[in-house]
Amino acid sequence: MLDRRLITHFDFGFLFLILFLSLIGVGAIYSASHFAGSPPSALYLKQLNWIGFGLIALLVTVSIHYQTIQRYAYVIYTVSVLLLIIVAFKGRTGMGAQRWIDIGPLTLQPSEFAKIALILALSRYISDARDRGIITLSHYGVMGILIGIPLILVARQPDLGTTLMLMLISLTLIFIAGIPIKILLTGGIASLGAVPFLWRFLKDYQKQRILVFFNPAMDPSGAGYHIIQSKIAIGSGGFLGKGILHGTQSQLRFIPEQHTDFIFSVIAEETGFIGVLILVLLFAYFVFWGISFALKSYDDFSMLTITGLVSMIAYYVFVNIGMTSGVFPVVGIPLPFISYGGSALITLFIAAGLILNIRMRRFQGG
Amino acid sequence: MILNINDQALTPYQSRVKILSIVLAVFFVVLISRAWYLQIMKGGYFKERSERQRIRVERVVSPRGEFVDRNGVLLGDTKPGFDLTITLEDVRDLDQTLARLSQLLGIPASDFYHTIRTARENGVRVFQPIRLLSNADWETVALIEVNHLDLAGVSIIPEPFRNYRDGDLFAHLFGYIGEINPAELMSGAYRNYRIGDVIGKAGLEKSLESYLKGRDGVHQIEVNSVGRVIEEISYRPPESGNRAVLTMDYDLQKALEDAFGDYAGAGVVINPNNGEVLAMISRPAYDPNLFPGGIAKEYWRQLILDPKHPLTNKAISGQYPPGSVFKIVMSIAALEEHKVTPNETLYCRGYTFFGGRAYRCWRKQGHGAVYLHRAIVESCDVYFYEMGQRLGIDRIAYYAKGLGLGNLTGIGMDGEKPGLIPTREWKKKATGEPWYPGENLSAAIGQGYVLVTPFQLADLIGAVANGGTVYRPQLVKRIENYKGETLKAFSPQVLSQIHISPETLNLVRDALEDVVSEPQGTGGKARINGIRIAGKTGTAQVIRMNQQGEKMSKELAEKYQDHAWFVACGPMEKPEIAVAVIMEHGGHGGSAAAPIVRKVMEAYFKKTGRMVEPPPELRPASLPSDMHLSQAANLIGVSGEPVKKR
Repeated sequence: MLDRRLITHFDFGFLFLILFLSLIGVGAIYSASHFAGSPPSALYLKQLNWIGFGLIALLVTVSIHYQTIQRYAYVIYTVSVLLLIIVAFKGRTGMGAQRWIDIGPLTLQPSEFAKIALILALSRYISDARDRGIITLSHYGVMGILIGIPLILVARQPDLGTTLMLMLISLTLIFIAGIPIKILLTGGIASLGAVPFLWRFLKDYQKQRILVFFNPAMDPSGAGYHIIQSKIAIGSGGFLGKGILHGTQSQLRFIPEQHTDFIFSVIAEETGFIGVLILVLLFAYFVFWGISFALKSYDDFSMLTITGLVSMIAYYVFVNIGMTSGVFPVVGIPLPFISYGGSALITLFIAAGLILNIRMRRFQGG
Repeated sequence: MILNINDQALTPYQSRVKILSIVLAVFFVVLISRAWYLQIMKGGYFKERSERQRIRVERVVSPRGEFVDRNGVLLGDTKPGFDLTITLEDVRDLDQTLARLSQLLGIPASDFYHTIRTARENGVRVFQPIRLLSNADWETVALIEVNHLDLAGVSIIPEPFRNYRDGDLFAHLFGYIGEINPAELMSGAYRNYRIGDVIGKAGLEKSLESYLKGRDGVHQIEVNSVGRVIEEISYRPPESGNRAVLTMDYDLQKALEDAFGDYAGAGVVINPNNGEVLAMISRPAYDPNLFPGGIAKEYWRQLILDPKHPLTNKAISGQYPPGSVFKIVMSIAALEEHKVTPNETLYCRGYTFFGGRAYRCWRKQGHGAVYLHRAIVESCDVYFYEMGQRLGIDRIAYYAKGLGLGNLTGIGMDGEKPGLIPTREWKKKATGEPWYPGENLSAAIGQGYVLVTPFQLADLIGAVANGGTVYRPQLVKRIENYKGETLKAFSPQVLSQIHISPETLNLVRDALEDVVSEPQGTGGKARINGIRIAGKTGTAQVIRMNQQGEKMSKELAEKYQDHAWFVACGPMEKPEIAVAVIMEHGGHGGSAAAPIVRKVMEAYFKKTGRMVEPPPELRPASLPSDMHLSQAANLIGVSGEPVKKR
């Protein structure tokens, strides 16, 4: 299956970039979970394990021809939707939302995999429609249903961050598919009408977070607390930062969720603007490198899938850094490759695996 | 490599991907700009904010200085206690935290809100702890510590707690302590104080504040976001306040309290030779231990509403007519002004007429022929009515003021009242009316406008004892630091001196001694075998006698009963102590107040070794008091002439 030509076409540079970002993450987690006076935390070691699992998942993904994956796109989509339904009825509740499902010793978050499944299904559908000719309004209707099912299931968990991600990814793919701007605008306005509907799904703390975003002074010691403390952490980092393990905001636990969603604050505090600049440029490099793959891809499915996956990771970065630095409401999105967390990391490695898979087989399409 | 897409014609997909990549590029620029704004442009501001919330300066309250009596008996010190505080900045959800706290401690959350609101209104910052409970007990401390995960921002802070060893025994002397209020902060008198500080609010706690306070320690600590201490950065231990060595004598104070029982009133014991206060009591009292921090509302309400005014130090703030005690002043004035000779005899029929009105003697049947000595011993009102007429109010006032009445004593405690010695000028100013000659008569027996405080009467009898000198009352002998070194010593201070000739002094002293020692004397109940005591009774009227002059105390409700005075000094060879006691609604001075004075004096003389054998509990005194005298007279069928208008 893996012949010599594939290995020569494998983009090791791209893989190294991903691993480099992940190791930055391990360092940041070490710092974020290291507290003066406490025994050293093993979180960074666990993250290393997750990276190991991620690499295995990446290799497995790479080893299956992307056209096989394309063929099974709807099956993958269906399984993913079923998992979401199971979670809705039997899932474990955490932090007021039903998101997790226990499979043996593993705890899975099906909404993570739903994003990739949706990208695959939409890419397959769009490329199929495209092969048969022009994309009609009814095609957009089917796409709407494909998007809508996981979206509603995730929204009612409620998982604000993933819902937002699914919406952004879908919008991107529909846009790439060449949807007339008129229809896009109409759909956009129509979906505004769904906002009150979506609002009803939200838990109080989520509503609070959004309201606070628009007015952080509303509750400086409550919901606004996260944003304020995070901004203090980032801002106080200054140009060069306070030094690794010397971020006072993070070392003294002023930052909430600092090894997961708010890890950017820790990095920004300890490495300053220089560190932030390097990190953001690394992500930008990753994103535009990925987009260059998309533009040079062999078929529509390849291009759509890569664009979907790359833009998904880009949105993660925007929303996460945006929320930690106070330009976006706190919705609970991790920083890709950096934040602590198994499900998210494995999903990202699978996404990277898919990109490398398509990239590697660009000369042997079907 | 990146976006290297110009080598071939763009498909429609590719042009849209290009648009997408431009949008994404814009997003990245936004992120970097935001980081630039926060870290470079506003970096200084955020750096300062992070410093401030990281390092907190907490004060370690210094233990207040001790109170010891003149013999070194410990009267007040501090014991370790715990305060329950809340730091708003560390609180995640105030409503939830207070609800939990309320549930744990069984205190309504509204109390906490009130405390927090008050503190905030008074300028307490979000990062400063607010005291919710003072002197929390162990159970509370344990409950808070066990549940600290639910109570971010709530802390237990050790704080030394004022401990008055004898509860209410020295209540009015010590006063009480409490949190400084905004008005006090603004007054300028408390320069280095902050809201939440505990200060002396009354009594010695207030007047000795600068000595007792000590110096707070400073604790620089690094805290995390829920206010829990991570690391100690620096620590300057608190310096304990200085010790106040009082002039008070614990044993005398105790004797005075025991003698008082449940009665309301006041008592003062001074050394007439230097003004040192040996004992001072005001009843009922309060327990100053219950004051600091959060005095229970119910207890406070009770104190405020109590008709017997437990919060008032009646020894210096209670103003009463001196009644017959004033006859001491009258005697000295009349003799010194040569308005009477010791041998001039006047006739008492039980009343006298002046300006068409009858002025009664307390003894309905009259005293018959009286000269000065007898008039004092038997407290004849008619004799002193005549002296009043002869002297006139302004001469009376000169002597009264010279002997310490009607002026502040100089004790230097808040709330002291000056009393009132009327003059013609005063009356004109105060009421717009002239002085009526008849008012000389009322003043002569210590009624009418005349008002004095118990302390002033102690000064009066003290002046009789020492020959006319009034000293400034001295409560503190010296201030010592924690090593026992004297920082400041207080010495006697003469406040005023009036010339009294030795002849006058001897006459008055002899008569006052006979008040106690003679069978006809009104102060027989103050008699101590083997020791020469001089004293005088007094009865301060609460309501006027009825027209028949009959006022049977037993039949009157307590609140209409007269106040009973007794003042005394001794031993008369060379007087060492002077005592004044008033028992509110005690009835007549001789029966109610004199025994108290006797007990205090006995305690003193036993202590100084002058009285060895235990005194008999009850002595048969033939005519022990004013009231008994008249009752006895009634019993043996001696009836006074009924008072009639002519």
